Amino acid sequence: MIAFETVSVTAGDRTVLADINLTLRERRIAVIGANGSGKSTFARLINGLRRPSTGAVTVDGLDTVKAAKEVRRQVGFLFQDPDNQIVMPLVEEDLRFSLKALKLSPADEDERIERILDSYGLTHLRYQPSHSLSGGEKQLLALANSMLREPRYLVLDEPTTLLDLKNRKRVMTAIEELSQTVICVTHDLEIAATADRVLVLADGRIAFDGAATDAIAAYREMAE
Amino acid sequence: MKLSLYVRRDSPVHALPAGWKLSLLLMTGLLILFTDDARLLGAGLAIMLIGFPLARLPLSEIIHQARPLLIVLAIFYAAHAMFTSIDTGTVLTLRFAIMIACSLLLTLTTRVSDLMSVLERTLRPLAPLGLNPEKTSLVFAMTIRFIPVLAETWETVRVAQQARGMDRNPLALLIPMTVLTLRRAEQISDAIEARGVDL
Amino acid sequence: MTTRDLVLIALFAAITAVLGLFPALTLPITGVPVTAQTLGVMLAGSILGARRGGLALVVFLVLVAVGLPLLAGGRGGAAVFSGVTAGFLFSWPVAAFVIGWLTEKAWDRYALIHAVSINVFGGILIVYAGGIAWMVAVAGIPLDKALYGSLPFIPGDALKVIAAATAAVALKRYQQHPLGRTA
Repeated sequence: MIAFETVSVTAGDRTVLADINLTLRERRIAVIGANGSGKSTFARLINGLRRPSTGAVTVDGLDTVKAAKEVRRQVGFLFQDPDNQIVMPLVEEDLRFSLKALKLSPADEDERIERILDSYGLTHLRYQPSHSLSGGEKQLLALANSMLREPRYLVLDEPTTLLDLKNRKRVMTAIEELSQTVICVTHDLEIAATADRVLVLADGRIAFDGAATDAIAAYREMAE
Repeated sequence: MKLSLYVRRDSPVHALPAGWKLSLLLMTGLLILFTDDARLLGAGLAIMLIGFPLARLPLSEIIHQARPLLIVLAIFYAAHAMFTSIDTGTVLTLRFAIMIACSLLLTLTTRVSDLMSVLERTLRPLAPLGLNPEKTSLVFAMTIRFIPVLAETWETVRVAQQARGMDRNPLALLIPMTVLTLRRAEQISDAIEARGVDL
Repeated sequence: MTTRDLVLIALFAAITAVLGLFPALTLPITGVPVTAQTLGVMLAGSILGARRGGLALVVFLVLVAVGLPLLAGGRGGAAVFSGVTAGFLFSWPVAAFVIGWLTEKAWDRYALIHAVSINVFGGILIVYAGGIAWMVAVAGIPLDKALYGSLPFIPGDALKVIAAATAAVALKRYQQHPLGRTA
């Protein structure tokens, strides 16, 4: 369970998010809203990359600021541009880098890496330079390097914006199959339509919170 | 983009451990300072040059890497011949030639990853002085990883400015390039922290 | 060093490498290539400051030394550090450090005039001092000949100084400059 208690975020004299109170228990949650509505900040609050100016965010009771380390083990994060999430020259090295903090034995590391490569169809790319991958393959590798640590939650920050249709489909299929709780920040209303619960952000506030069809209708109305 | 000069071959020079080759290079660098005898240095150079056929390296790659250095060396020799003396010029040129041959042989026959691990082993004793080996290797790895990414960013910026007829103004390329790179740095640090990597 | 520092060091080492992809002009008389890479030295110092800027160039040179072909024209390997012009390379981290140090000192009033002076001092004077000292001390070239041989590079370097200084000052004005954030 993810809980926001009277959370606000300010940057200088600008209010990014104001007085958010939420409890998230659904399996698929989408967050939509215009550019600058605070979506990205909302996503980053969940794993402690951004600190609330007031209030607190907790994941399964753990405070995202005070217990950032434990929270990040439970929350995987997929960024918009996989090129910024892949930091090692080779595919295998990048996956191993994710496992470093877990301090597994080399045999266990190998086993996990083989399993994750197989489940995302990346086995043939194991010893390839990360740079040689296509956009879709890079996003799958970024997803693999988040899921490798077996988190219970996955936060996605506009994961398909930079992908073409075919790769978007490939990445979305991989995400749909996850058993984890997924919180997806997106501009893509098709993705939002499949969520169990949709939040609409406007000017740092929650303008709508409810079922997908109603939320999308409300969002379309706001845009006009 | 080929990001390594290593040429894969099955040869005794390739088989020699990277640490040994590196030590040999450093020792050669010291040894050649102890003699001013051009015949001795010439013999040393001849021994070094045997290494190239022994390593079965393609001539084209040797020439490509050596040529700019040899051009400078030739000018250097000519300058000495004109301004100091032919003898001094010969000795100094031979010393440089030995070092160039020796290090070229090392580079063409040794994997970057092998040299990096020698480097990490050498740096490990410095850890108490505040040099963290894990951070160090992460920085090297990230540099290699992001060279092609930044080359692409540069190309994207160039094409965008070309469309506005500004691609001939270096500042119209440099300023967006640095802004985009700094922004990328923020996102990469976020991504590393999100992966729970302890540094 | 924070994660962000490490990332900035890596990215500016990478920028210096990318600048080497631009074709180098080889001067007909001296044979020394004119490259855009000292622009990387000036940018690293002017944007990252002393410590990070200097380290970015150390990282770059170590990668060259272990055999990555990152110098202009696809050159690399330990061989480039044993040539007659190796002193120029060795001076890069020092130059970046000094540019960074002076930039930090001048930060509160940092404007184009400061940026240009600092980069002339670090990016031209220090680089040439290192390069020429090496030619004289190690390669035994007489000082006046070494000085004379280096002159043709000055106009290109002056252009790089203006480019780096303008970029650094622009970053400060747009509040994107990393030194502005830590200060």
